Amino acid sequence: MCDYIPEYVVIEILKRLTVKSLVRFRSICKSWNSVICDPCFISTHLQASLSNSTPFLLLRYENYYLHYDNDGFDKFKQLQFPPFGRLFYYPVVGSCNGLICVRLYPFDNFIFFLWNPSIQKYISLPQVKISKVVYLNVGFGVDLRTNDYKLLIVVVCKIGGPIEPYLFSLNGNCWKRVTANPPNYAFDSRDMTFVNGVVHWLGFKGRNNFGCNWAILGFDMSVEEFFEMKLPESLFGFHHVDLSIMKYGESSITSTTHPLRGVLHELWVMKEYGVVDSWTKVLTLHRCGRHAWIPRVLEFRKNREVLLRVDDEKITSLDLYCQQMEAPLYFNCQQMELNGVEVVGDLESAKSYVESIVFLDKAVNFCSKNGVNHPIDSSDWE
Amino acid sequence: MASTLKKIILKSCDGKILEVEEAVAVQSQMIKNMIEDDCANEEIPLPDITGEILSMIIEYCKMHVDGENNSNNELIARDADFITRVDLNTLYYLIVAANFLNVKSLLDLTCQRVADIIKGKSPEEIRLTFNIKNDFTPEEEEEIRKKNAWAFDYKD
Repeated sequence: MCDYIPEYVVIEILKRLTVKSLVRFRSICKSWNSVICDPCFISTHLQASLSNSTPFLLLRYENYYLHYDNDGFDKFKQLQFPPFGRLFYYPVVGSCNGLICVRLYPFDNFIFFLWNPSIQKYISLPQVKISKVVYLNVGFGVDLRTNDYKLLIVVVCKIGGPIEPYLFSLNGNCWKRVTANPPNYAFDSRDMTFVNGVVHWLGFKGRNNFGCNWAILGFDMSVEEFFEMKLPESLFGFHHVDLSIMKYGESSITSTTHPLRGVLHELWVMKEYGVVDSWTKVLTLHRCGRHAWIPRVLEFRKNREVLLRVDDEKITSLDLYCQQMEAPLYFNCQQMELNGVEVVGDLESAKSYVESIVFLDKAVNFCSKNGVNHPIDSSDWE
Repeated sequence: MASTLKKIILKSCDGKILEVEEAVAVQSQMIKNMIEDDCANEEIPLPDITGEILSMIIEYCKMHVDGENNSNNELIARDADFITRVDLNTLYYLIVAANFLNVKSLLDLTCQRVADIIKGKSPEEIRLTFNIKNDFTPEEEEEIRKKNAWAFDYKD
């Protein structure tokens, strides 16, 4: 090879490497190290991974595992969870562009971590100062204009009181009170869904929760404004605890219903984001036979198949396109093929995940600052 | 139909002149832009690209034009056959040329090939392969290794 490799060639090659190779290749020479740690390269590598590499699913059962999002759900590896105390339970708030947001229990302490399992680093967010909280919703995502990771929490501090939104920005490393006011809908304490640069949650109006004032509420992470979208009319009769919303593909949202009467699940997709008329029912799961399995919709895969937890220890994948999208697919639990992956212990969550070296620079920068509330570079805890 | 038979004349840095059908030449976005701007009527000099590399690039582009109606799998197989015949040194010059001529699929193919070759290697092997001088002090290198020990287990 020639004596001098121009930087653009190095970047073109490096952006196609796995995280593990990249971290190892930092030790080759100073110029490779500075390319790999450069925020622009980190972003280039992330975009290349999002469009080219095999996607992963982050599954939580006993521990956190990465499985390839391929036909066999092949296990990639068990993740090393950051060592911030084993006594607590850490639910995953969201997984977005290589970072996983984890929330520390008990919830009222507002302790959040951002974790990059691929490079084994995490930071803890500064605490947000909010007094007593009745309800809260948390959403993790990224500002698509600036690539800044953001965390939104909306809280209700007293019953019947106003909804207060707070936003954390990783670039700014601070919380702020959002000036825009969220639409006045009640909500449950559940995590939000990030799609299309927006975090979404379900809201309802009126004392009687069976009322028809249903909406998906959204907060745009870039312009930092709230908006609302209607749900399909046939879901209006559902109780709020029977509904949930999920990400579908890169730019759409679904609403699913939980077991009700003879129907186990209905799955509605908003085929065109923001267009209420585009809500389409894509799946109906019926309870049949004597089997007591109640499949739970876990996540949509990169190939848009739906991932179902079938019984306690099995997951399976269902192709919604084996019939035309327009015609809802009726699915008989007895006929369901159980060639899914064996999961030891209860499967608690499944999230799509992409490997990245996000943080490689950040954790170090944060560490160089002095201050009580600054995030901590996990590598300094070793 | 005369336009499809139009020839573009390319001149390599070592003076080799190659006549290429327009349909093949426009696989290069750079040449396509030149044709659209009406700047490709005379021979196009290509500094930094040797005749040998230029011939390989034309072979690649021709393969893609001829294989337009083939299945995706057939094209992938042909790409793989093309690229595995190329050694690392030639790969480097192909990358530089594919980048200059803006042949995106060839840039992808060549860079991916290099990435596949080096991904499981140790830092020492990479330095040897690319003739890179280690300019870290032993302490600095040890610091990176210590903080990222997990990445130095080569089972990728």
